[in-house]
Amino acid sequence: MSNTKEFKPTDWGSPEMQARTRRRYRRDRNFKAMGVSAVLLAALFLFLLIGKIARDGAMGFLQTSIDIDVTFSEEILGDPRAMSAEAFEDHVRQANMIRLLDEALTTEFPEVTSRRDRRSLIRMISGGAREQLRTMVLETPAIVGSTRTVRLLAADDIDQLRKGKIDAAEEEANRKVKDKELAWYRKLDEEGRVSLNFHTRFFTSGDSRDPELAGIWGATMGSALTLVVTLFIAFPVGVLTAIYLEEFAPQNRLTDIIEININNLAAVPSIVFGLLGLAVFLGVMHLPRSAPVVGGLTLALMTLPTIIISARASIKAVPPSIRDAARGLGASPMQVVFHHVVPLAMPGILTGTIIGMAQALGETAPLLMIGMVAFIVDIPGGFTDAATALPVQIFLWADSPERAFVEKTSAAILVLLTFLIAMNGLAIWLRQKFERQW
Amino acid sequence: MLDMATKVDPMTDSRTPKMAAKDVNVFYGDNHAVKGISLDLYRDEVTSLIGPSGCGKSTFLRCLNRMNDTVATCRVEGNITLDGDDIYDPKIDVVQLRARVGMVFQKPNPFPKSIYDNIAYGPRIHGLARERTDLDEIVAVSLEKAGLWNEVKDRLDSPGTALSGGQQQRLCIARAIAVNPEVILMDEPCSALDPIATAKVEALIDELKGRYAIIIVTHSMQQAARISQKTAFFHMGDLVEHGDTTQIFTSPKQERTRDYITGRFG
Amino acid sequence: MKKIAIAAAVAGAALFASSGTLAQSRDQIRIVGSSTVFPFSTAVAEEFGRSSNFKTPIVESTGSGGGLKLFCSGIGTNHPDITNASRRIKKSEVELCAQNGVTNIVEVKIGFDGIVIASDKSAPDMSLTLRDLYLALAAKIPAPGTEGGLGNMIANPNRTWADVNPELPNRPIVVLGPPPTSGTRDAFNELAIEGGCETFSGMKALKKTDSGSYKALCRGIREDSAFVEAGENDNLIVQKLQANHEAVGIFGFSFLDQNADALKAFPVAAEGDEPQAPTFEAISDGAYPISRSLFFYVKKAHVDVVPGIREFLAEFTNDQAWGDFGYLADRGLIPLSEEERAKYRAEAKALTNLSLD
Repeated sequence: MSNTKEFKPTDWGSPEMQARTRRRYRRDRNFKAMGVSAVLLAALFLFLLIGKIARDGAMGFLQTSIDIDVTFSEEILGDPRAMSAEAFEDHVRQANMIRLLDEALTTEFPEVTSRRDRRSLIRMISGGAREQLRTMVLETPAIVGSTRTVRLLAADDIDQLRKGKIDAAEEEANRKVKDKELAWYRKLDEEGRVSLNFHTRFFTSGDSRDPELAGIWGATMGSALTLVVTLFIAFPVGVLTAIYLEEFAPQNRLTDIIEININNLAAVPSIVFGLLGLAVFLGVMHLPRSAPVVGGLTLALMTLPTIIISARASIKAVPPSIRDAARGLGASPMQVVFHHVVPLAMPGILTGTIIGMAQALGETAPLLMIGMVAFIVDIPGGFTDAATALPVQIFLWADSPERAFVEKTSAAILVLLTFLIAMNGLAIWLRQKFERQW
Repeated sequence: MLDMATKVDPMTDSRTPKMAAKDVNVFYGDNHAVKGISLDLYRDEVTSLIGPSGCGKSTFLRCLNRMNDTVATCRVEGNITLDGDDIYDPKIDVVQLRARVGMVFQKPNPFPKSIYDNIAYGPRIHGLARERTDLDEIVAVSLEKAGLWNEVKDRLDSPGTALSGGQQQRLCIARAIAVNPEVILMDEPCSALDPIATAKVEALIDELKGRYAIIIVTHSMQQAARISQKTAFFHMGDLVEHGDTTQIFTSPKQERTRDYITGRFG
Repeated sequence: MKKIAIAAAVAGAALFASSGTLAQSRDQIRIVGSSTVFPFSTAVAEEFGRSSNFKTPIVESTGSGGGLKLFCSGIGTNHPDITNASRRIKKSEVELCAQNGVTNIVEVKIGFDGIVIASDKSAPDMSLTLRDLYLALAAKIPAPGTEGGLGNMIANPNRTWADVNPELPNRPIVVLGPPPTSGTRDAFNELAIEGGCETFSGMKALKKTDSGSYKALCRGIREDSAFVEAGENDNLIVQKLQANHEAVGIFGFSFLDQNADALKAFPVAAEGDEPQAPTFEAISDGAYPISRSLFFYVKKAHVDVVPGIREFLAEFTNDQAWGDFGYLADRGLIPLSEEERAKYRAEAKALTNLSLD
């Protein structure tokens, strides 16, 4: 049936049409521009943040040392040839290394005589020097009686001076490094005894009150042990829960309630899990305080909802045709799930797990309640030793008054960020690698 | 050569139906999708189920191997038997049922595994091969039966998903054959394939009917006319007419059947 | 997959089973308590760990109140051995301890801490009295012309320092201080705000008649924009002061010491006294009015159960640590007099019981 009314042919070339087309192009360009600006803005903030931290933290990886000629006098250390190895060791442990330093420094600065001045001189060297000298003697007892040039760590004020963070031009009253010390420092510098070196101790030592001796290894080990426990618990429980909810759970009220609660738990502030950890793991189960076991359990609870939700999404994404094919062949429900669905959902599950772990790595609040926010010097050896975590270490250092801790804090942040980027990178790589097999 | 013969009494008359449906009703919630179907299905022949879209043929087909069990809202009433045993009896093992009544789907769905593993999966989980050599043989025989052996014998380890559409569907048929079924259900197996691949699959079905009872749901009347011996016409959930294919297509008894065949509605 | 699940279940069961035994043994000293004493406690802990064969004690910064609560929750290896406090233990806390079986407590006073009022170096100088601080920061002050007391209070209207005292500069009052959870805040309220409040005779009278209202009025800090809670992190306060030269900060002496090149502290005068700048000597002999004593408390019952406590006490009470030229003084601790040090050293050695008198 043809209609009597005909459509007039559209004039696509008319000025109105052209104006419309131009408007459309303009809108498209504007939208694209907005998108690009949004990305650039985000990138700018990221760049500023990382740039500031990197600037502050770069110096944290370097440390000032002073070369001092130390005479390992037999009078103070004892004669290793005259006594047994154990007796010598005891003697060295009791020996007052400060005297060795005192003698070395007064030899370098013979004009320094008063007790106060000598103490100021000694304070230019880090407290860790005692341990360093002691280790040297115990490792090579033959050193007793000789004079060696030893590279000792400088105290944090001298370090900051070398790095330019203390202004020598300031009035003396307002300066941490007084005029006398400044003069001594300048003399050492002119003699070429002052050097700025890469500070490997930052990576190998535990916490300390002295910035030049403080390191992140204790916190890193603590984080590693904690995350192992978290993974070990959260991954199997989370994945199996997701499988059950997606594949086997009947569609009833109870399942709905469970689902709602899991989704809610994902939004609960992390400190609440800390309270739970305190009440249950410490209060009821009497697990050791500050231990990675407790930290891991608490963080596992926190990470579970994330893993469950992402695992469910991955499982849901497996096409039903695969399940039908398997079922049609006579595979039992368990076989369908474990032979077909889970392997195909694995990339998504792994991605979600790694992201959950990265989240757990950066958490501080839950660890506060279970005692992992503490000054812990020793490196944890096992799951029940007291330990702290990287973000906690950063938090504690940020709170310390010593000026030199500012750069250490930033340096530690850089290390933490590196771990996080690595973990997220791993997640992305895994996802790409496995997705090709689809 | 491994004997793939099924455990059928050699004295059985092929007139005794392999599977029989009596007064089957299927509900999806309140929707009455299949209304009172009674149909006998015989071995050694191809039965095609034809009818317009949404008339319940696929739903009925999926009842025969209890694939509808996985749909939560689906309710099946009536009686369906395999060799005389009610397949909805609680004592029946669904897993074994589905090995005896295999299925090929509309869109080819090979597993994202190698061709070898695709075929070998079924025999593995049902314990049909004791050693690796037995498995190798089953794979070879199934692929030969499906007419795919020559095309893939040199690349059994390449992924099943890398084959063309027609080859994938033949792979799925080979996969279904590998578990030694007695009945093969096919849900519009050629609708996603090009004409050449379709021709190959139809030729395959023709060969296979000698060993299995094949029930095929098809949208194409020409296909039904070409390959099936019995035809059942479905319309709006009812089984309107069923009988020999030639009779249905040349002298249908029901008006609705005639209208459909002559293309009055599709 | 399944194997991982089974292994996890077995490990979990083993953990549960052994959790009882894990609690029994502990070879590390556990210290909790004040964040003000934290830098000193950790310095001694580290030195102790380094120079002896004992493990380095673990020190947590929970706040004085929180620390005493943990300390008083009982005897046993899952309770702390020592708690630090920036104030003396209260009677109610001693009673709580006794209720939970903690009866023998050793008190050791370790030194003094000053709370300074400071600004960036470029800000104008001010010399403040306690009364000035009260009038600048209290939530409610006596109505003009009155001496305070119930019914004579108004909400604090002072917006500039000149409003408080015409001799002070005409700059808006912006004070950055610690939050109510901080011991430093408690000490500041008690020493400075209450100290200034008491200079009004009406308030002094109120103390005797209605101590509840007295406390609320004389220790309450204003909640408008004049007083800004700058968090527990004193480093942050220092940074903010350098950014905003009008602001005045309230924090501990050790932070002033570390940042003396950027900040200056204002002298403070108690009623009727000369203004005192917060120096080592002024705080040490009590001349500077906003200073407090620092303590730690030890459970006698833990002393020979957890190894090293006696030796730790010996390290802390050694002049090398807390003396005039000790390493704690380097960190900003203001030492006790020679006599007090001798007294507490002896008490620590003998594990003398606390007596609150």
